[in-house]
Amino acid sequence: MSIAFDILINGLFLGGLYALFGLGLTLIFGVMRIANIAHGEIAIAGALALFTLGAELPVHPLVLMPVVFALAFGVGWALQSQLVNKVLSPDPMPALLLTFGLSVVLQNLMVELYGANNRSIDIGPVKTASLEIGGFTLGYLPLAIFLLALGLFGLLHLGLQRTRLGRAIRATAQDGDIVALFGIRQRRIFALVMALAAGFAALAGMLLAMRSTITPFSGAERLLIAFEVIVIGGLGSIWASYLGGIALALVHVASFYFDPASGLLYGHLTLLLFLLLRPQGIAGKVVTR
Amino acid sequence: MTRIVALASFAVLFSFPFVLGGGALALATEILVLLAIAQSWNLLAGYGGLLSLGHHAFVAVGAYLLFTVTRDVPISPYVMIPFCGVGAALLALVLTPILFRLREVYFAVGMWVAAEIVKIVVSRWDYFGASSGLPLYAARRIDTGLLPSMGYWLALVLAAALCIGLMWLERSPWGLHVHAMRDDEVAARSLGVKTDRIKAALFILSAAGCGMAGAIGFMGSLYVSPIAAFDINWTVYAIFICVIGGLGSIRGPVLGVLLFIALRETLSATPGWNLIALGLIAIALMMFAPKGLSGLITRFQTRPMATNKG
Repeated sequence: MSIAFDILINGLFLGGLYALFGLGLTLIFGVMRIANIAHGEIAIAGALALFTLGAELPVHPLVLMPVVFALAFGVGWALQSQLVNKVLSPDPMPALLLTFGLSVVLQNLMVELYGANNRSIDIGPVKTASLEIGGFTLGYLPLAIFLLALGLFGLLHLGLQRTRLGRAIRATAQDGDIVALFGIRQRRIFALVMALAAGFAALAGMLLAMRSTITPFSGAERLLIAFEVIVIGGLGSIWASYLGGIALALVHVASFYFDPASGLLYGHLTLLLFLLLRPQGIAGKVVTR
Repeated sequence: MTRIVALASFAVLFSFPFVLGGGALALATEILVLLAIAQSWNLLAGYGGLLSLGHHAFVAVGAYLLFTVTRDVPISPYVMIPFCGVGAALLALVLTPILFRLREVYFAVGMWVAAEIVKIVVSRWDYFGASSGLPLYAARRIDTGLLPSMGYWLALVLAAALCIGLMWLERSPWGLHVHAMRDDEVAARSLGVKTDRIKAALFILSAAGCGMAGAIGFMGSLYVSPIAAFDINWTVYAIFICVIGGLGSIRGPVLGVLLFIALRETLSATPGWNLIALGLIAIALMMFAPKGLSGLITRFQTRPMATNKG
């Protein structure tokens, strides 16, 4: 009983982080109909950037997180406006190959600069502190990450639903060419979306490096997790990704408990199961191009 | 004329094992194996429009079939090679109904996930030697002195067969359907071209090519392990070779593999920077010359005509 509760709580908390990894990917696909193969590498680059900044500046890593978010936002904007926008066409192949090239460059650059060692961002005693409720222990850090992710999803939801810019993004996702007729610059919306996606990815990478450890090679598995989150959740809404994150995290936490050597195997199998039995995902609408 | 040149160059390539030393022959075999993998990947991506990030699974499955079947059944490893292709094709056939639910953008990552699953299963299963891998037990039954030459010839035949197959594809009636699909999928479908069936066929054929290439490649090293066989770099190299040479053309991967090997041998002291350079080249080519070297050559050849037309 207590094991089931442990798995449930840990899965729920980890799910918030997974959802954050998926968020950027689902935004990019929703608006531009492409995928960013370098998504995982951007996340890990964010964590390593925080690592370097934290070593150079006498400030707590938590204070530096917004700085790294802003940096990643700028990188995402530049990536879209200088590179990806120039190869966009109805055929997604050039954009996929370009971001694939970028992922190889980023991964090997990080290996050259940082080495292949495991790293973790030290945020002090908060990391292991926990709260005890009725005999169950809840870690403060996983809880905080879960709440932060929830808050960010809420903010993004409000931004998308209530602001002019959010309306422009949603309209571009529906039909970018028509939106252009109303004087909205499609390519700037694309740049904004890629910038947000890179920012969220970097944030997720930093939080991951606080919770556990990363290496420059961790980007690949992060891309796969982000991808599984959005397919299992269902495309078409950011909250679907949140559900997908929790579902995938529950599978990972449970499989880590019952079969520790399995790695991400059961998460991958869950994806195949969903593709076979419920390709639209848990909460997804059937999306047509 | 072209046929004579092709036959003559095939004859020259065929004689390599009599002329070249061990190291040079091994490099030539490696080039042909890489060409076969890249040409198979090109078949799916360049002709079918589907980008796969998981083709190393087919390379590995072909290699593992060779090592396990020749261990348990007294069949010659050389005879086994085509069946390794069949095995990889069967894996693709099984994956088709699952992965084709993903649209082309996510087929790429979905295929990667499939490769991860096969990798984890193989590296946990004792039948496949688990994480430590398997030696080529069948080597006891064959003359290992001939192995490098046989490996080279098999790789040559496979690479040549793939190039000729693509040539046939470009000229055959079925190839016209593939062309129509590549140019405008919706229009092709409206004219009765069965695009899903074409994509599945290309996927299965491309898996078969990779399976045979993997079997030939690992036969020469007499040893297979999950880390070497399921190395994502098989896929990464295939992509770089196709992008550099030119996606969707027959000569593209041929040019690409030569340039790839030249670059690798020049930067061999720093393997990390080697991949960084390749990645940057791929990005630049996507921006300025998406059809790669092959496209640049075509552009250079047709420029006078274009100016004549004014």
